[in-house]
Amino acid sequence: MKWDNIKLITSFTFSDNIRMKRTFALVVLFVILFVASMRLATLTVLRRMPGLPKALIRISPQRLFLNNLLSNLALLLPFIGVMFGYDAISGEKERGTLRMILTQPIYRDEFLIGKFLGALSTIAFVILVSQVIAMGVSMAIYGIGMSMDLLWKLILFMLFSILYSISWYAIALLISVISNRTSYSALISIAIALSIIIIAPILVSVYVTMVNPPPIFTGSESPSTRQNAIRKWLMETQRLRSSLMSFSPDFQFQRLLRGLIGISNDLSFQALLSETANVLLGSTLSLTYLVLMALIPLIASFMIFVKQELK
Amino acid sequence: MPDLVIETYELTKVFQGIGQRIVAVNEVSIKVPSGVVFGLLGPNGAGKSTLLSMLIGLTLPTKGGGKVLGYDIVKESLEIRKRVGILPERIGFYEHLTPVRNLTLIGKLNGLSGKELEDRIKHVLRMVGLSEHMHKNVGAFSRGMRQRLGLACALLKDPDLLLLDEPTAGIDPEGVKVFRGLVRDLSREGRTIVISTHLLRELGPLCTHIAIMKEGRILVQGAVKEIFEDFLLKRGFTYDISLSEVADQGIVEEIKELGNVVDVQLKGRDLIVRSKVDLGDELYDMLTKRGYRLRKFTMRKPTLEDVFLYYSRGEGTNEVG
Repeated sequence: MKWDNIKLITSFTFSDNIRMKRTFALVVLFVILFVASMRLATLTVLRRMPGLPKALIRISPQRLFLNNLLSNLALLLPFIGVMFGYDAISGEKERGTLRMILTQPIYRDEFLIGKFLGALSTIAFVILVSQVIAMGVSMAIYGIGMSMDLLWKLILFMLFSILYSISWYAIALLISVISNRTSYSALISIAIALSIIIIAPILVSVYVTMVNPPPIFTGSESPSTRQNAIRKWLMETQRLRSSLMSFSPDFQFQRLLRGLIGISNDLSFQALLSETANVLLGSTLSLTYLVLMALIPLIASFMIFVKQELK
Repeated sequence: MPDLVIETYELTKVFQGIGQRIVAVNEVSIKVPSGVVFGLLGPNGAGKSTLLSMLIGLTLPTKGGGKVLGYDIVKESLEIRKRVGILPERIGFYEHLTPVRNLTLIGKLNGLSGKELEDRIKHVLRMVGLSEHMHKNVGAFSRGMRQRLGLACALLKDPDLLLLDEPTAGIDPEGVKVFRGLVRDLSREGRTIVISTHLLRELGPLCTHIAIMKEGRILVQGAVKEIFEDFLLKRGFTYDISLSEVADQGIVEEIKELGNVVDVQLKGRDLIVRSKVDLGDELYDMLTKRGYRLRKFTMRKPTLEDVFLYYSRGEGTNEVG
């Protein structure tokens, strides 16, 4: 394998992606989401509003911001991966550029690694640039200060966002390798993303409600009995939902990042590192799942692409 | 460079699909000598592109093997792609980039860089007549210009062997003319050029050697001159003669008496004579001795289409010369 060829394809793919309008649109969208999450979290006026549930008042603006950000990221990141992956190979086949490249002295695995690294650097670039811009904007507009623990959590958010996005890229890449047409690979990739992120949670909720219906009260129960029954029902619902959704990368990503959000604030850097390590150790399953979600389609893509007939 | 730049033996490619098996290339053994313009001729679907794909390692053979420039087509395909200039069928470019940017990518993949690469790019763009368009995006190029850019890609590494797959398909007549001129110039430089085409009339005349393919098989191969001679010997000769006055039926019998005559048709002043051997001199002498003045006396020259049709009917042998 020749590293020069991989570097060349990586830099070519990266510069090609960066020039695309969709990359610019993604950065803008990201910035808007970041700023919106920040804005929502800084509405400290909520704390002063009478009649607000106590639980909400207890949430710190930082936690609120990170939770908002996580919800937005969970929805957006799969589509970033799909956006850069769906035409990675099928687009090259359709345009005839794959033939142009592969008739040169380059191995197919070098080409695919270059494409992958190019996409990885583009995704990292989009996430990094948008975070920096958004934090700058938020600081300037809302006067938000950056604490060490927030910065640390944002860095971790960024790293795991890249991993999560790459797992979706890998799925889209696999479909792109198999398909000869970008329209098919786009359609199938988006359908898979929508099924897992939007449709599966709805179906799981419906199923859980069917197998675990809410308790029915006759009116003669004591309030504590009702509370216990409701608590039990909620816990069972949560347990069922978690076990059924554990197949979903979206669920594992959110579980991992919620653990990170829970890390205490105002810690020393060493304590922050140690607590982060504890959270990651506790989320080994989620982390392994996300890594496998990226690796398995990537390896499959390589195996298929290297042996694929180019008629 | 070896005497034979391309040599294959029983090269076979079978595509297996769901419930179907397509033999795209069937036990093809070809020999391409150095310095020739070799035409791989045949209709669409004959297996020409698959054969070329196997020669450069884009497709692995199901059976058989071969060598290009002395390198094994399976084990050393990278070495082949380093040395052979290839214009694939349906080549595409990065449309939003200029020819220079496209060629830079190709050049770098071939180990060129810096000033050397810049100079090569300028040189090949000049060769194919695209210097004036070097700063336009490829998206604005016509089909003919794209093919010329494809040729520039193939020439970037200054190869001794060029493989051109359907280079004039879809190009307007002016573009074909330009392309033919380019191929002639490249041939004069001593390069070996293999052209795969179904357009016999457009590119056939450029070829010094040909192989005719049909349904995955080579029907005939060899030097064009020898193939035509062989064709004439097997198929016979046809003479179109126009006399200055109406001839009588007796002339038909006299011509038949020359021997080896297959058929004589007389329509007024016009005679069509078909013979197994070349009877040109004998016919001419006989007619002039009989006092006929000849307004026209020509031997029909067979075209590549005639040769193709003859061999595709299975009447010829596999190798000539």
